[in-house]
Amino acid sequence: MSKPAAIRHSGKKRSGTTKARRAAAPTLNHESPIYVQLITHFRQQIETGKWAVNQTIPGFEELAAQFHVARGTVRQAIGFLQREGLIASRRGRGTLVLRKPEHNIWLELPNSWQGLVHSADSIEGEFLDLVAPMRLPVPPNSGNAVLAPSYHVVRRLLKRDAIPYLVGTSYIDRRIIDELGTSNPGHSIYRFIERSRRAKPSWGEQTLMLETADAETAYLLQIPLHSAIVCVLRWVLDRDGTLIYQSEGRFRSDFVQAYRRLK
Amino acid sequence: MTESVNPVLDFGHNRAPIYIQLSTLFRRFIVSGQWAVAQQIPTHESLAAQFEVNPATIRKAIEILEQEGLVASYRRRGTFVKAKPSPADWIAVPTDWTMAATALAGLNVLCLVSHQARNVPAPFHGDSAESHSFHYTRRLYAREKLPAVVEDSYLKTDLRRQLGGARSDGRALLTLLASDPEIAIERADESILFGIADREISALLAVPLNSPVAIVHQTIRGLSDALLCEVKAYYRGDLLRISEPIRFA
Repeated sequence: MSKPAAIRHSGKKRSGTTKARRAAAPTLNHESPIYVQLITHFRQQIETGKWAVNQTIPGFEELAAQFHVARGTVRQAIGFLQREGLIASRRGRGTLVLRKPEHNIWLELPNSWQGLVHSADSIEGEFLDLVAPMRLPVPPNSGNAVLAPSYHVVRRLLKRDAIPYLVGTSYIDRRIIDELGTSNPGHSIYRFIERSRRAKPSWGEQTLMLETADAETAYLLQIPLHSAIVCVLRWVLDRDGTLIYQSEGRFRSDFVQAYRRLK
Repeated sequence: MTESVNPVLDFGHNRAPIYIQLSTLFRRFIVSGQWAVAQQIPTHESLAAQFEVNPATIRKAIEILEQEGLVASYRRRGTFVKAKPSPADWIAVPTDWTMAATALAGLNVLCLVSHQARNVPAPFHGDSAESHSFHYTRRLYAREKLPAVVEDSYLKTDLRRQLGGARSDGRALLTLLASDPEIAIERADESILFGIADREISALLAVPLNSPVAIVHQTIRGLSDALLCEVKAYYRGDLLRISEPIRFA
């Protein structure tokens, strides 16, 4: 949970800063955790070359002073970029930039089948044990779905750049598993379903909700208990109305966004 | 329920009445199943001790949930969870223009701030606007008395005049924009981000500080890409739902 302490910097208590220095720092707001905003800013510095590859970045002290945040907050953000492999600390040489980020930090939540099929690039996944008792998938909110005779259930933790961002449970029509001859759908279940000749995804629906992380989700996603998470429920039907796919995903809320063209 | 499962709440830093904040929290317990349907909830006295408030404050918070039909109190038996909030209680974030026109239409609209904007707004989507005159309005949308959405908008001044000037401040903005056939809207883009409520927004939405919110940016453009309206709205996390079709080519 982001502490109110991080909010301090907007106060007018500190008056020692010069205008020039303030202009150099981006405006931090209260809407997302400060360290996330720092990550976004630091990545921009690397992307634009202001922090050049093979060069050292400013020290923690300096960054903390520049943004009026605690050193621990800077360390948190820098630690993230280290795990991402963008920077590395070298003893006696400070922190070096290794490479530029390959994609946007924000993960887009698509609203089309094609978007889903192509969204899963450059992710790593690991399978989790199924802890919950087996149940049938939940039917969609609208429309009538016919349940398949049986389902294969997959529970996975997905990561991008070593950062866990999604815990998901997926129900796949077992006939697709049988047809493709493997119960391992690989990195993208959507691409896996695309490979099927018998299934033709034709109708779908999704619901997004904001929830707070329970103990297990918080542990898996490496976020504080009760942090905001985005819960996404998806349903995909075959031509004949059979529910061939259902999923329940819990995303870190600070790394997803949804773009929609309204008109 | 044990002490350890309670989120860190900062009641003191919130201008919303404590009983409203508590009813929000209790509603969340019901949604999450922490207070299960048909189960008894802790007594007023134990809740009062747990949250360090007066039992009368707990009673007021529980009364709100009773009015919403979520709990029922029985003499000598205690208070029981009757149902989870129904889909009709959700606030939909629009994902297409038809929805945008209707999503907030049924809510009470309260104009909190309205004045000529000093600057041309920086649009979230696309190129920046030419130097026209814009009007800033902050609206609070509420279902009955439950605040749901805080919306900051910059609307082109001549367009606001066309929509009824000051009268338009008390009505749902996108509903007004979409319902006037005289207004040519060529393009509308939306980005939904997720964050937490700061002091100001948490007070307006009557939720504890750092509660989850959706931050919805909308950029509405007219002929030759001219910026007509820029919106930034905060939706209460516990009330919002985004429900939409998955499109197939």
